[in-house]
Amino acid sequence: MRVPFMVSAAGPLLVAALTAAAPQVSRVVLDNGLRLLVVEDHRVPSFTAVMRIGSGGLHDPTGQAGLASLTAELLRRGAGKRSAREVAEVVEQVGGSTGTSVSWDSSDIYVDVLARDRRLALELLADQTLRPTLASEELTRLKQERLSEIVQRGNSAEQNAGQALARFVLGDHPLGSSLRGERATVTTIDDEAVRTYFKRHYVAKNAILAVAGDLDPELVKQEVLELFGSMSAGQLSPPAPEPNPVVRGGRVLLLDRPDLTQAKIAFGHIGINRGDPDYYAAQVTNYILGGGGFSSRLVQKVRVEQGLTYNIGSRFSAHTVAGLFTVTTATAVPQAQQAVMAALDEIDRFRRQGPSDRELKEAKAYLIGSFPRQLETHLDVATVLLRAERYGLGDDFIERYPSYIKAVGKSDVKRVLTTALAPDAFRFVVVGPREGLEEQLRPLGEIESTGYSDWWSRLAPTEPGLPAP
Amino acid sequence: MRLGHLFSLVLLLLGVGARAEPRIDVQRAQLANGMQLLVVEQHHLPLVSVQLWVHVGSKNERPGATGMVHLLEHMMFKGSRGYGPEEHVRQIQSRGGEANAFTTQDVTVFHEELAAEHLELALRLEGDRLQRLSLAQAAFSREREVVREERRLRVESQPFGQLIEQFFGVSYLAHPYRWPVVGWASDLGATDLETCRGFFKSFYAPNRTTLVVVGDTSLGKVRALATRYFGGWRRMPEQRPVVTVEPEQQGERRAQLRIRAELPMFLGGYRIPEYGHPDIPPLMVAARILSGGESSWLYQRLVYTEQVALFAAGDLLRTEHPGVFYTVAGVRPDKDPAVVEELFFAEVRRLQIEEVSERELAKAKNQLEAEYVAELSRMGSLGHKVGEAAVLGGDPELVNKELPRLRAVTAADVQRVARTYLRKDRRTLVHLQPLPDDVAADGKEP
Repeated sequence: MRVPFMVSAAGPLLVAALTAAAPQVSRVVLDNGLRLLVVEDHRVPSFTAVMRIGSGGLHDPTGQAGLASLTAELLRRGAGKRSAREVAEVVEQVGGSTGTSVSWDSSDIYVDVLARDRRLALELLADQTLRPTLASEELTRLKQERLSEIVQRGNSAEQNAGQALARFVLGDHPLGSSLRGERATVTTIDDEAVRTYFKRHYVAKNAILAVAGDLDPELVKQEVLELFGSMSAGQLSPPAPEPNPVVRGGRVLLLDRPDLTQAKIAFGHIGINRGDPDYYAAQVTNYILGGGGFSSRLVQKVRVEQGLTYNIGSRFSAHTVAGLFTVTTATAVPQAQQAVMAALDEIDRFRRQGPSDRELKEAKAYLIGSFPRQLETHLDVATVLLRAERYGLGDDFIERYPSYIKAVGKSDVKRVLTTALAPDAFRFVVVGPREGLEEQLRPLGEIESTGYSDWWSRLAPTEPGLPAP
Repeated sequence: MRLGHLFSLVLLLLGVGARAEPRIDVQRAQLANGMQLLVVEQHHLPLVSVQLWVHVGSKNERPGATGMVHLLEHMMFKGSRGYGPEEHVRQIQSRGGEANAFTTQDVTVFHEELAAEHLELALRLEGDRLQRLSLAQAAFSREREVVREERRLRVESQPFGQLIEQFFGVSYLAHPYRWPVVGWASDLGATDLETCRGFFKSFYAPNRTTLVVVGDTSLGKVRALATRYFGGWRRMPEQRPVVTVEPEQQGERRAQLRIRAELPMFLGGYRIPEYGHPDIPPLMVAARILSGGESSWLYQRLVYTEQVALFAAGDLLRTEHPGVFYTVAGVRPDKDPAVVEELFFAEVRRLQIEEVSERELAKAKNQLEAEYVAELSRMGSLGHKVGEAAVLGGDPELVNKELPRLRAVTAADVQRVARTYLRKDRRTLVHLQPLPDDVAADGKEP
């Protein structure tokens, strides 16, 4: 096997200016297409390896929401020569940990140990991502756990208001489902589905491996070559389908929970993608609107001035092919209308006024100034680099990030306010007692109303098992 | 074998060099008015974590005024003589920092994380509000509503929040830990500005406050700035301490909570000693063996093998006065909670009957040590550990005793503390029984 060639050697990071022992980063591509990021950082003698697969919940086939996350978790339930229990045991014995984290665009498997257990971590990670057992009885067990968890999820009414909004806005698109799956979809996921997902997405060309910590880069590169060189090349997974906004039905979804004293409110619409040229302008805009806590307009209006809520916030969640803009809050049932109207008024005012000089200056100062705090540990650095690699943001993303924010001007924020925000297109989900809420919500538009539990149980897939394009 | 390695890890982390003992070098000073200063220098990033620990928590409240200490913490963001409402957070955030606060049964902590060059700003802002808080009626009335919303959010809408509240109410008969930090709904509804002002005047005092700074600074610098911004703060007479001692529990206590929820759960807990007590480290090891990760006893037995629970976990609440060791289990919808309870406590009993194996013991200790080390690698969490040691334990050096004490724990110690504290007689158990939507709303059962 050929020695991998150096694609680039990104210099010291932004933090280099700040510390003598700053992490050093290098990037290598193996013959099979696996991208390797090495973060050398001797400040703390620990070691982390993260395999990021460039597919996540957006690649769940229609009717199989939860497949990406079940597949990732199943890797820990037996790999190589180790059973599920042995995998947990071997890593917990050395005080380390292993786990998975699945997002809409990627699936991460990580192993975190002390530096001297580096070899063990890499072997375990290679076993999990190249040679998982994918045993039938383990999948059954995992599905049972997941189904119980889905039942349990019903306890969190505010989380479910947000979840219901995604479905209400995006319909059958994967982003409209839960990353962890629904009762109906988890039930349909079988061995075949998991194996197919694994074969298709867990391939070198669709993967990035980040290793970070107290390590010798040359030695680690050799070990990675030895342990991951045989990962099948495969293909980069194609992008997931684009969403189409749902247009049918009412504008307000009221999920009846007669026992609640507080209405859980979520509203919003389709938002920008991660690759949108206005992504950074949208972050600045959102900080001013509802992302900046006490510095934001929504908190100022709805909490500080009117005392209507403990928390209100807005966000653009942006993924490869889809995004959502959402506002969430909770307020005592009798003041639900007042809270929603206060928020809508403020959004309207912001759209008319645009940002003040002070708001723009403070938002940019926060987004730039808080960035170094996201790089406190080597794992933090690896995480930011993985994100940059996944979204093609460039090797020098960490150095360039401040300039992206600095470049955002008043006109950019004004543009975002008109292009990425459209209050007329907002759809609303409210969880709470129908009796106290229906009249209050009528001014917002046509109301669809259903029992809280009924809404979730009728989410049966329309076309089960249909693979994603 | 493991220990030697972790030993060097801690040394490296803290940049202490070749010393005999791994140490967090906590430098101390005191202002003339009694305010304590604790500084841990770390120069690898140009950041600081600033924490002001005011020694007042919900246990200093009284019936009828529950929730007041937490509400006062909220009022600390509503402006002081030099700064308008919310200006504090705005000033910090607009320099890339974060500012927030939290209240527990024992303490109120205000904290900032920001670039080291802005340390002075953080202390100027804190100095102003701690000495010259506005406490205006209009802001108070609105903030009281905000806190009532917080209570609806965290407790009334969450089965787990209600379960915890019940648990403390039943577990403690006499000690003020029995009421929730956020306060009872009726007390929040009835409270007034005068009460709030009274708490501010009595408890916010330099002789009840500890300033912890971790990061790229020095004790000299912190002392100079603290003298400038807190030096004129007047020492207050000592307040009467909380004298109530929870009487010894003489038998199991059980309660039921019947509310709308998706699945049955139960919370079982045992009274344990206070923060700095020598039995705490073996209890931490016991908690780890029971519920630390997927190879732990509870997970293996209830979730993995028998598949009767969705989750089963436990941990210690380390408080200034005797606290609790609590365990919680989520029962699968199709399983009998009584059966799950039995299996659950069979695992706890195993700790009393069997001596844990060396391997099991080493695993638990390795996990705890790794966690300890991870906590030290962030300035914010390191500062938190130092603050807890100083305020809850009364001695910042306790932070350096934790690791040696953990390492010294033997299998016999684990068995001894399990037999002493995890007894059925000292147990409080609250079962959550879910009710269907309509029944829960009516508040009456057929």
